[in-house]
Amino acid sequence: MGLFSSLSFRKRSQPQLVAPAAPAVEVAAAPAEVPAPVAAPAPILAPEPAAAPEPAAPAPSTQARAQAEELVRRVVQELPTFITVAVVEAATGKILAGQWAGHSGGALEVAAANAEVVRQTSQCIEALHLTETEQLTDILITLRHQLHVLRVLPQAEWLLYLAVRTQDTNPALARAVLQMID
Amino acid sequence: MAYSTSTPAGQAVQNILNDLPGLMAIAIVDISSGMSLASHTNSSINPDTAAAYNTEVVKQKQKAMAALKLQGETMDDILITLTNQLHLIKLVGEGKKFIYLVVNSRETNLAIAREVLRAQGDLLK
Repeated sequence: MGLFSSLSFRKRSQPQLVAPAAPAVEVAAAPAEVPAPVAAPAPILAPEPAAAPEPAAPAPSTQARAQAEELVRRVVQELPTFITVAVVEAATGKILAGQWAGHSGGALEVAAANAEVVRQTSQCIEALHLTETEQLTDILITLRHQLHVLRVLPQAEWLLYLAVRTQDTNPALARAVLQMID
Repeated sequence: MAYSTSTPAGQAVQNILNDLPGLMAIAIVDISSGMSLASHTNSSINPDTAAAYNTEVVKQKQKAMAALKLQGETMDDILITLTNQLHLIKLVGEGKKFIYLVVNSRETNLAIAREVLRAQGDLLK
């Protein structure tokens, strides 16, 4: 009975179909394979009408995070003298993965503000009626001692935010590395 | 042509046009109002619309920098790379104004665009 209740908890979000009865028997027969029912998560989400109207940030999947971490790792490998490398969700400004060479104070705020910079720029391109032929590739901000690059990643609604010291990395190099990454 | 060469901003626009006759749009923008002091376009880009929007981009980046609490840092310029265009925003006059330049990336690169704008910075103090 204990096994059965843990199974029904796992399956809570699934619509009430007749089907669950069959795997329940299977799992009860082989308790070692309890994780097996998770293998097909896709159809669980689809028939849930209540969740659909709310686009507000579903938690990023672990797969997305792993992919983001991999991107960060590759940039760090190319530019070991970095100050900050972060992958940020464009719509929300949320950090998916990041590395900070120094203190990471204010990182959340900075990520959100940078996502806003990209949003404003996209709005500008729209207002200028350039969207038919032009797409935003990146934004390079030159400070006195630092370079910040905001790159719009093509595969998803993500931004790659890179901060480096101007004495270590020039703008052409920073952009070349980010281009190579995606 | 929305400038008069009797003002420093108008003079700067004229000088930049002399250096880059093929530029797509140029504007000298006052950050506090988001309005252009002088502008010119050779394309469909409305430099006054761009001025208003880019003022917000600059302000937003200043906010991001404030969050970083950087000591002794100032923003020099912002380069926006599009598929076929470069948009360069160069802050001048102690961050109270910026020069906004749009060029075709096949004809002009960042180094050239920067070089041209650098020469005008002093004029707009």
